[in-house]
Amino acid sequence: MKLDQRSMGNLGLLVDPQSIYRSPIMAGDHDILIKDPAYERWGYMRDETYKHFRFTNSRNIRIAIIGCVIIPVGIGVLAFSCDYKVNWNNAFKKSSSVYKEKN
Amino acid sequence: MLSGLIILPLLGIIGLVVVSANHRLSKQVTLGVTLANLALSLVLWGEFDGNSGEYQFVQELSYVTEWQIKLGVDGLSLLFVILTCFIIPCSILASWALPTPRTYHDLLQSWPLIEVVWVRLRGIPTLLDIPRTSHYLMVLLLVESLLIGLFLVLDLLLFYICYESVLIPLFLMIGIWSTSRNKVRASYLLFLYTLSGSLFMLLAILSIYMAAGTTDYLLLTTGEFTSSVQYALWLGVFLALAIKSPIIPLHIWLPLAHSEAPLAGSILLAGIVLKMATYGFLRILVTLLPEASEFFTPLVYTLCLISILYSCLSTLRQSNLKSIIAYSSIGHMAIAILGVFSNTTLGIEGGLLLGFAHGLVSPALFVCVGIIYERWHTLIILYFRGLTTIMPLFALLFFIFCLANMGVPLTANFLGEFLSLTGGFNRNPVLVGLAASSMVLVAGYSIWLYNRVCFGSLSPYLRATLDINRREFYLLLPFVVIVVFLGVYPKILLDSIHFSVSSLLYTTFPLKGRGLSEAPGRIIFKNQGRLAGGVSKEWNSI
Repeated sequence: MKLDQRSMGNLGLLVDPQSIYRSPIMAGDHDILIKDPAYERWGYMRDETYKHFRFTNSRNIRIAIIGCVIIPVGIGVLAFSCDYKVNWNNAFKKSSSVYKEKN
Repeated sequence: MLSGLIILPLLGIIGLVVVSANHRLSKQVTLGVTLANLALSLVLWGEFDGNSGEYQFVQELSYVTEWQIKLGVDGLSLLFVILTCFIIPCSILASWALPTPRTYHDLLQSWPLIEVVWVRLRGIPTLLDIPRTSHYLMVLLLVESLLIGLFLVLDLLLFYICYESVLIPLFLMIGIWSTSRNKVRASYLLFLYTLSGSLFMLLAILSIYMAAGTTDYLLLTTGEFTSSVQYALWLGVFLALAIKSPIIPLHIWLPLAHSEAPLAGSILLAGIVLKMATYGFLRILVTLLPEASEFFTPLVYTLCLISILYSCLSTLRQSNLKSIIAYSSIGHMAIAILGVFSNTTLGIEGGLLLGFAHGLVSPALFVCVGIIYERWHTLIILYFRGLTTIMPLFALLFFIFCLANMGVPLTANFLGEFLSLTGGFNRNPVLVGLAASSMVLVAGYSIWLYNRVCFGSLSPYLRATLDINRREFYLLLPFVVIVVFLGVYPKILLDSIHFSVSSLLYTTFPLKGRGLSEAPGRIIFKNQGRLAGGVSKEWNSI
């Protein structure tokens, strides 16, 4: 079995820290992170997602309408309709049949 | 004393010009100046009279310019001054291992306009002859001076000038000293977004000046604007502050600015810059435009709820460690704004406390991410797993900050969130009840983040390295101590702001319509206020 860094990463083998202990980072120490080209490409893709966004996709239009129009308008209607609707004065001071305050 | 807080960092800049050749001495001088400023702010806090809601230590600097520059501090501004003076030395300590100086040519290639200017100025000795380390430290000191000035000035126009001036050093910090690929885009987004929104605030301030004949804050608080004018002014100022907060959908600049900025820049952005908006909401909108604030509160609550829910859901999808913390900041600031606009003492104090606590926890999280980045030079979360096995002390501190970010009891964040949501619940229980669901979402992404980074076996992509060193430990320790201490004993902070918040709420303005005479927590009458010295200013029409 080929025991290079890529295959070890693929197998998910436990790395014993003591066996590969390194001194504190010096300038120019490039072996501290084993870069995975797939991860780098994925990270780059996530950073550049905004460049490929298009509204011509029906899924994007649907999400945009739901997330940017329907939900905000719904929350707005809820906000204006429920504003100051509850009077908290004497809210929990109703008389009880099982408990009476002592005079 | 107040002018000393602003002038001391400027003197530090002059000192840096003298010692610029020695990198170590430059850093020591900067750290010393900022620690001296912190000590001065603590003295100010000690001398501050918490039993008064008025401005204290008022200074009029009319001898500086022909315009009167008035400085003063009350409970609200004291809180943020202390936070600023604490965060700046921490950002310097966090950036101690600065990159070695390079020439400016490779940096200027990203900035064609500056390269043209630099070529033309090459024959003239300029500050560009000073090594880059000193430039970076000068920018940090300038930011400190401007931020403290913003919280101390008692004039709307000066407030705006400081508000905008902070953008320039931040723009330079992100655009020049960041090592990220998208640093230019991040700096332009930050600058243009904030600047374009602030133009509306400038229009509003100029309108205030045209109507009232002054931008002096103390004079403006003794009068009132008519309702229709208040609504227009409110919208202009709110747009600027909403971009800075940020509130979705005006948040686009924040994740990129936070993730692409150097460590000190991220700390400043998360720790102080976002709090500028909270301070502006209280100072300008709630105090000077109360009727409009009451009218537009449902709109603010709508935007805050959307910000909370969308930012929490977005955080779950992030792949970059810094972006996770950046998106979480949006949700936390939205909860603080909920409290600020609740029109209750509880809510406003909660918003301030949450702002202060977030200003501690978020920079601490950025420092933790910076520790990771300093070792492995990547922020892609997929690489990280099992850091507890090789960095147990770091994992412990990171865990405490993740808990604080979640708003776990015994942390100041919990108290701030609880008070903010309680204050908002008085007003609109349905919306605030939905906003409280953010506690679950925040716990979701915080636990996921910590579990992903620290638990499990060590990632095969990482080579083992040392745990945090002494500098990093002593940098993070004060954050832990203060966050937990305030979570257990918040009275030490709330005592300073209680009277200021009460006087802010229980000032005297008539509010019409919407049954607001029954509004809990606020009593409104016609204002016949007078300034100290018998000068009265009464105007209620334009």
